[in-house]
Amino acid sequence: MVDDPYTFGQIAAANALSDVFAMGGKPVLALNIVCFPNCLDIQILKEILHGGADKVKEAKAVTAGGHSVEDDEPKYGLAVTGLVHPNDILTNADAKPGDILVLTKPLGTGIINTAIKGELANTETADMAIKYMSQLNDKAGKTMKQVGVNACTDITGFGFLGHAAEMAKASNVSLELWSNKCPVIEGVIELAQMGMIPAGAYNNRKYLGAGVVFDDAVSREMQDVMYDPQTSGGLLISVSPDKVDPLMKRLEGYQVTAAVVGCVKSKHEQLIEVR
Amino acid sequence: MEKEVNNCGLACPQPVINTKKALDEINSGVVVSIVDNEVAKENVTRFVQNAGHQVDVKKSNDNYMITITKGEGQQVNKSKDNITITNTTQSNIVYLITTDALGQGSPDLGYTLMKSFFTAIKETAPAILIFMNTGVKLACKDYKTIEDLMELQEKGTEILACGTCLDYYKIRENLAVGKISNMFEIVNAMESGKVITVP
Repeated sequence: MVDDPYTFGQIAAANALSDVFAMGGKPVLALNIVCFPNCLDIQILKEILHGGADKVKEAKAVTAGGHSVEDDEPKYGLAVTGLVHPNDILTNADAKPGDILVLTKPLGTGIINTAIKGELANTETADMAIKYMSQLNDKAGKTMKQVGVNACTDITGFGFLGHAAEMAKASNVSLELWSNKCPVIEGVIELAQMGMIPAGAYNNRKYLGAGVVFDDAVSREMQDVMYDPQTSGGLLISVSPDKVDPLMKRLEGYQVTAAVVGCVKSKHEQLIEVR
Repeated sequence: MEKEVNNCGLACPQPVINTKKALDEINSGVVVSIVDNEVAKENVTRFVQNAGHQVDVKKSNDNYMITITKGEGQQVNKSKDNITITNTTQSNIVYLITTDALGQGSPDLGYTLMKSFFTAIKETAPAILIFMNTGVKLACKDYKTIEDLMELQEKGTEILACGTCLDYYKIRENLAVGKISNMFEIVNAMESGKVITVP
């Protein structure tokens, strides 16, 4: 995905920490999980762990050791434990009809990663993807607690639509999403036109099937972006309309890229309608 | 002469890359790209269509045979599903338009000149018009050039607007004619004919 081991470590850690933030919690403890081949320079592993440890520190948590296994290919992840008061736990199951949906971080990292593999992504686009993938969701998490929101989920491998669908199912509602409002990393649409679509995006599309309905105006490429599996993606937040302004203002204050991307409706035939 | 690219067993984006390489090596001709999964079939087809080549997909056993015709061998106007040939004019002229006002000096004069430029090229209908930098504005709504551009498009001129430029000027939604393009496709378009730059 990325060649630089330090960056790779950072992204893996940001990804692992994200779940805790999405649930309204504060990460406390992180344990490394490492697979590494003995033929590879051990310096690389050092860099990966360094990247991971720095992100954990940035999240104000502690890396307390971990577990390593010899393997053919290097792999790195973290098991993260966090704290949250039982009354404050956020899940994806409390989105309410009338809520507004806010998405943090722009979409498209899966498509960019595919293009990076094919050496077809330009440096600016690749750098943007790396910037967002290694960004913690801590500030968005903190903002949600300050403002008070109804539901949240983090966007990862099942793509924006996949995780949105999970929220709709769990909350027993339908969602209306506005594709022209979704933030997308610059250059992603062009890469989609060139066929840089990861297999995961096709799987997500297939899995969701008729549950998602697109308006004719939504381009094929934009659909791909919405199905695109994200690495260390942002948060999808369901918030009551009166709290949208304070939420957006605070996110802006923290310099978190965010946009209002849709609304929650009472449950009807389709899980998700995209305009 | 046909060139075969076997992508069986390869994961994305490799099939697209291999197909692109094979197509880059020829000026015109046929490349048969063989893939063994739906994802690669979709991605290769998408890439080829966006690059403006003719494509035909056949399923044989567990594989897909994607036959791609580049350049002269293309059968123009053959109506068949999943074939896209946007440029159907006789001309091989590609105009690269990098500004919304023709020439330096008074912008107002520049706009007027640009408008009459499009009226003048309507007769011959060039193969491709590429709009870059402030040039993209000419293909956006509220610009007087739209009508001429629409006529050109109907006559078969392919109109490409640089996506990065539309984003830079925050007018992506305003594009009224032509398709949003990328540098890769634009370079291909420029290499496909005689390029005249309108500065």
